[in-house]
Amino acid sequence: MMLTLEQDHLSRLREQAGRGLAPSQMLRDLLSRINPEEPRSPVLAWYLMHAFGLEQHQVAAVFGWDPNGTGPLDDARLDELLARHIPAKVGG
Amino acid sequence: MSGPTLVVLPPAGVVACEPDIQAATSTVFLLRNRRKPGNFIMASVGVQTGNFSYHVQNLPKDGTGCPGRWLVQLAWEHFLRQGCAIAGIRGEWIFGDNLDQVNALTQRGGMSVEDAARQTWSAARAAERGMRTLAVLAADGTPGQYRSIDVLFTP
Repeated sequence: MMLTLEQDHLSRLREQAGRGLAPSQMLRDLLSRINPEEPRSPVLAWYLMHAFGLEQHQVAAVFGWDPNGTGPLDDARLDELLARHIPAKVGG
Repeated sequence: MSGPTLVVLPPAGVVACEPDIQAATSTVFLLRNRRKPGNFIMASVGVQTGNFSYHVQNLPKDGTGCPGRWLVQLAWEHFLRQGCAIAGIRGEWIFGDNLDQVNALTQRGGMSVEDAARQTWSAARAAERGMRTLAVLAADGTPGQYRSIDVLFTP
């Protein structure tokens, strides 16, 4: 089955970033809305790339993060790495 | 969720590799292994830069699953079929095998970060595609304890 991105989720990500929500919070919220059968980290990365016009290497942290805290990157490190790229795209 | 189902056959001799292409657009390629949740590749080509980026994973490392080298080749071929002119291969190593290898090779006065980066698994994949020139764009940390390394491989 081919995956597609939901426009509502993309808009929500942009709105959350505009409000200054931490990337880890944005991703947890997104996870609660997507099909749990979908591959988690690739789908999160794809949404971030599309929502903010980023290249994949800029969202590489997503692949090392687990919402349960079991990945090599914790929330603070994920937020630090993603915040380098996300705010400038939203604030314009 | 929609679109046609693309089929790709696994390489001969591998165990527990059932590839399922889940996205294959002009900018994103995603394939996961139905038989092993920790085995997938996501790859993309930057619209502005033409740089190929990927994350490939085959966990646990138990000798089963779709081989990473084969997955990278599938993604690369996909973008070539899409007509992409790939300018380089971009990596941001912030965890995982490439970063671990660089740290192991640079500790205690070992190699330079550039020489160490040339010894990584991803450098070998880049070289296979003619991308043999390495630029370390940024390195956060000190030898043996790098926290992140940004690299670009070009022809």
